[in-house]
Amino acid sequence: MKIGKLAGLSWTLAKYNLKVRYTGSWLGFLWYALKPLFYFSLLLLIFSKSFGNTIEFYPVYLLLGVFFWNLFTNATSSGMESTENRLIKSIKFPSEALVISAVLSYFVAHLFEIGLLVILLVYFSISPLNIIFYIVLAAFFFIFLLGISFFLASVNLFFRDINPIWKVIVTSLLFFTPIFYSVKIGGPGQFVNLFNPLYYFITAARSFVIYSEIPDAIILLGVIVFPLISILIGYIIFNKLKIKFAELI
Amino acid sequence: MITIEIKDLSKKFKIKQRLIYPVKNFSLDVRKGEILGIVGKNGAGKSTLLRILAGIYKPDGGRVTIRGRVATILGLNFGLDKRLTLRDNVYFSCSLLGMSKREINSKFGRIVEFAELKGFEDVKLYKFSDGMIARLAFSIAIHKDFDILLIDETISVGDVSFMQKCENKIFEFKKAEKTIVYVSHSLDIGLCDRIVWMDKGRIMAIGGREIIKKYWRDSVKDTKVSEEQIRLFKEWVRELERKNGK
Repeated sequence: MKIGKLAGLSWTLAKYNLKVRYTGSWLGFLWYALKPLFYFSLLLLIFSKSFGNTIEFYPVYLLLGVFFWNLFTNATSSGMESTENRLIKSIKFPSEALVISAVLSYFVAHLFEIGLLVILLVYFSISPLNIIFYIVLAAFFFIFLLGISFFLASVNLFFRDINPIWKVIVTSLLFFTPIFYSVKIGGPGQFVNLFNPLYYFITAARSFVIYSEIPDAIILLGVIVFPLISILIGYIIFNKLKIKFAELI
Repeated sequence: MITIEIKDLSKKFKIKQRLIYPVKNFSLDVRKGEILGIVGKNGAGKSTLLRILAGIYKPDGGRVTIRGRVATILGLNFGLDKRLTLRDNVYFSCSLLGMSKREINSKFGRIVEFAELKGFEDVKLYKFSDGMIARLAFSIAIHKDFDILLIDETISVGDVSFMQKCENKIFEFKKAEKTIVYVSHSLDIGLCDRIVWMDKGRIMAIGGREIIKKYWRDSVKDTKVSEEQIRLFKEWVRELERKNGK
C-alpha cells in the first residue's frame, strides 16, 4: 500500500473527526485547547504555592508537563477505540487510517494550544523561537503515540479489558510523572522515571523550551529510541492482527 | 472469462467453544457480465461469503481469485456519519472507498442526482429519512469504478420508483459487462441470470429462476403459512415471471 495514499486518507478522516466531534457545541473546536487549559489552571492553583517557589518559571514548567500528558491520554485512548468501528465490517479499506487519523486529530488541535505556550513564553521573556524545538519533539512524540495506539487498537479488540486497564495506567501516570513537581537528579524518583517514556519527552521539552539548553544525552536517546521501538512493535502487531478485526466487531 | 473463482472455500467461527462453518467447501465460478443471485435463510452464510469476496474476511480454507476492481454495498449506512452534511458524507465515504479528491469532485453532482437529493447538499444527515440515506449509500457505492459489484440486500430499501431506477442501473452495468453478485433472502431477484440457493454454508441448488420457488417451498416447510399467503405469493411469482420473462 502506498504511504502517500494512506496519509491522504488519514488526513481526510482526521478532518471529519474534528468536524464531527464538536459540531453542535458552542465553543466547538476551542474545547480542544480548553480542556488542558483547565487542568493546567487547576494544578497551578493547587501547587503554585508548594512547588512554584522552588521551580523556575513554574507555569511554563507545568504547562509543558500537562501538554504531553494530555496528548498522551487523549491520543492513545482515541487511537485504541478507533478500531471499534463497524466500518471495518462493511468496507475494505486500510484500517491503519482509522488509528492514524485518531491520533492525528489531537495533534492538529494541539496547534491551538501551542499558541497559549507562546503567550506564556513572551510573558516570562523566554525566547518564543524555542517553540521550534518543541514542534520537533512533538513530531517524535507523534510517532511514539502512533506505535502505542497501533498496539492498543489491535489488542483491545481481542481483550476488551485492555481499555479500562489503560485508562487506569494513564491516570496514574499523571502522578508518577513529574508533571507538577520535580524529581531530584540521581534520586530514586528519577530512577523510576527512567522506565517512563513520558519523562524523557517532558524533560527534553523543558530544557529546550525553558532553559534553552540541550538535554542530557540519555534523555535525547530516549526521545529517539522510544518512538522507534514503539512504532516498530506496534505496527508489526497491528499488521499481523488486522485481518481478524472484522470478525471481532 | 471467469471473474470470480471460488474453490473449496471454508470459513469457521468459534462461538462458545463450538466451531461453526458459515461457509463450507463452497465452489463456484462467476462469469464476466453475469448477475448472480444468492438466496438463503438467515445464517446461511450469504453475508460471510460476500465479505470474503470483498476481502474483509480471510478464508480459513480454499481459495478465491478475483479478476477486477471490486465495489461493495454491504449494509446500509456504511461510512456515513449522521452528524455530517450530505456533502461531507460524500467526500468522507468516497475517500474511504479509495477515490481521489479530484475524482470525487467530478462525480459529486452525479452522485447527488442519482440519489435524488438535489438541494440537500448542505443538510446534516440526521435530518434525512432512512430511505434518503439508503439512496445516498447506494449512489455512492455505484459511482466508484468497478468490474465486480457485491450487493447485500440493500436495493429493496427506498420507494418503488427508486427500486426501479436501481434495477435499470443494474441492467446498464450488465450491458457494460460488469459482474454483479446480489445477496437477498427476499425474492425480488428476477434480475439474476443465475441463482444460488445457499444453506448452512453450502450450495443447496443452483440454476435459473425456478430455484426461487424451490427455496421458498423449503423455507415455509416448517412455518405456518395461511392458504391466503400462498395464493398471494404464487400470484406474485407469476407476475414477476411475466414481467421479466422472455
